[in-house]
Amino acid sequence: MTPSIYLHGRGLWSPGIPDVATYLARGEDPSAADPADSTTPPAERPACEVVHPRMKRATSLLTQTSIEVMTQAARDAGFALDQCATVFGSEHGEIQIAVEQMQMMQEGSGIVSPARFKNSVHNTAAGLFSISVVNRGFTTAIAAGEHTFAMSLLEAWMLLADGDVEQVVVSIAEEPLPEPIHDFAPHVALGVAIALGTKSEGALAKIGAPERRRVDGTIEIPSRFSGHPGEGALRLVEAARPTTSRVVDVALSSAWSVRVEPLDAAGRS
Amino acid sequence: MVRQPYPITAYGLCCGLGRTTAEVVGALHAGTRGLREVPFAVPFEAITGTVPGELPPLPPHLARKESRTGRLALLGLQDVREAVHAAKARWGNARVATVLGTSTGGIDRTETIHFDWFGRGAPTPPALPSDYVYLEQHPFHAFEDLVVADLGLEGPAFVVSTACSSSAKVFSSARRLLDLGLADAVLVGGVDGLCNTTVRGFHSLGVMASEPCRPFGVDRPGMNVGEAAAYLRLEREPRGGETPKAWLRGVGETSDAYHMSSPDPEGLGAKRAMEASLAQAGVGPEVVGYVNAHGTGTKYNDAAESKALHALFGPEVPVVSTKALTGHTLGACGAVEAIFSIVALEQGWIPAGVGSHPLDAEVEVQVPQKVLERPLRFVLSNAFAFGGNNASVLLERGAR
Repeated sequence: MTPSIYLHGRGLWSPGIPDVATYLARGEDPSAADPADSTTPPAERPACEVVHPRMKRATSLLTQTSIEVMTQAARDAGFALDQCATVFGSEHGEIQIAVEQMQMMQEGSGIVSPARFKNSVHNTAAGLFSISVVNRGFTTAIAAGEHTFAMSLLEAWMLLADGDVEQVVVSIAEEPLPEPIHDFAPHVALGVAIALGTKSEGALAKIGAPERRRVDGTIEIPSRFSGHPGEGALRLVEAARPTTSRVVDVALSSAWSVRVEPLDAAGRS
Repeated sequence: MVRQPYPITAYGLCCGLGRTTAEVVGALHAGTRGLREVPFAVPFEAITGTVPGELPPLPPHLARKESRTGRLALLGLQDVREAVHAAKARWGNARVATVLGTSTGGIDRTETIHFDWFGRGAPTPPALPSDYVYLEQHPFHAFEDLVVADLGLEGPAFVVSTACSSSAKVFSSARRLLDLGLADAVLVGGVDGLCNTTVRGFHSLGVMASEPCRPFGVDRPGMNVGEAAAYLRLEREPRGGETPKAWLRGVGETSDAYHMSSPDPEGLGAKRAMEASLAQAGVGPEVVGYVNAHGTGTKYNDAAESKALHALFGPEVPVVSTKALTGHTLGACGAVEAIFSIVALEQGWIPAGVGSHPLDAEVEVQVPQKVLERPLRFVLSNAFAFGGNNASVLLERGAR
């Protein structure tokens, strides 16, 4: 029998929105909904305090955002950073470094920077997180186009349901795409993470497997995140304390959704 | 936890050793290297595991998804296409999932465009060509979308991209999909086409050889980058009366938590991955008759891996790195070398450790100098990656 899976914590970062509390309070604080610029990487960076400054130096905004939200969600859930499994999702990956390297190839000797290259892989955040918090367990990095968050959530859910691990944090993060490809996907920087576990104690909600099915209504998200690969993750952040059972769209184009169920005072769904 | 075994019922690939599975397996047995000229200009000496000949263009209805990786992905499908269609007929399109690994996806396509766009040095950069469609050509999922569209699959589909362990980790994702009843068949695999980013990148790290690599050898000069597309079909159960090619018995996955681009010198993360894969099958190291090593040919990888292998298996188990023949096919190597391991189980031979002798004095494992003919029951295949990401796949012979 498949065990029940519970939602335990959330993390979020975008320029001007340092955490979930700020995001959820955006109705009271209009500045949190200000449009962010997607054409250049923002000057503002997440704290990403678990990474040593020396190691952080050559990393991208994407890596720092991924690690920041992963850390926030794990802490929100009360998970030990060195014990929980991690699933890092991103549609575009380390695209700023990738294009920067293409520029280096056409300048001077045509050789790329070794410091950039070693931080150019899709699992850079996964590796740097594991090194920074000395986590020797499972980690992976997923991409699936507009279904990236849904498929990352599916992998996280499967890890728990199949008994591989008891705690997992899943994230999606993107950084603005550089020129000349920016206009193909003009996203702002955004990272969102969700912490899941097999124990109901301290959980916010019970969560089902991602499935292809219709959603119950729409959860509004700020227009700056409309069409962003992290859109589905933002809806899950909003739906994490449900009062009634509901089906939440976790992908663009309504292809994948999850059922989120409230818990009673005793932690039962 | 001991895991349910799943049958691997078909496979196919292309790589530097050949364009078809039969060509590749023939060259593997013969110990022929598939290392050739780099298929684009680079400002240093290098050889790569380049697929021989021109890669066929994409069919017109899929031409928008153009990239070298995309072309490679479809060439590698030729020997499994029929098997995937049979799985669709048996289980239904929506019950066949796709989980593929890659390290760079279709990045070669943006490199070509960027070189033209940036390289002209015009004050106003030219408009991008109309046949450049970033979202359908470059991102990690683009080549998988191409494969899914070509095959008409409708099950869950995602890409694992953990650099060089990517297409070893796809086996555990497939196992979970089958265990939890979310699919009845899974097409797993790995695809990585040669590109400037990886060839110039590994050169910048000082680990690229300009001559053929010599995994585990004394004074080994480093690695050669390669390219490949490799696929395997896993199913819930074999068709009645059919003997599978092999059984998936375990996938151990760990992190070194040590360094972004260098392995833990003691190989502790690698050893834990191998132990975890054995534990999932409920067997000990004594059952393993051959290890297909990650064996990149770099000083540090081979030293750490040989320590881990010696600590777990002792000095007797044969260990071979087939990267001496194919080059390091990066995100595809897990799937390529799982197929090589299955060939060893099916046909009862261990490939020769080409270029490995004389062995480095630090290497305390047995690397055969010629093909060893012997029946095998279990083979372990290792894949380790940047970020200290380790995966070890345990396979059992199909005929039990």
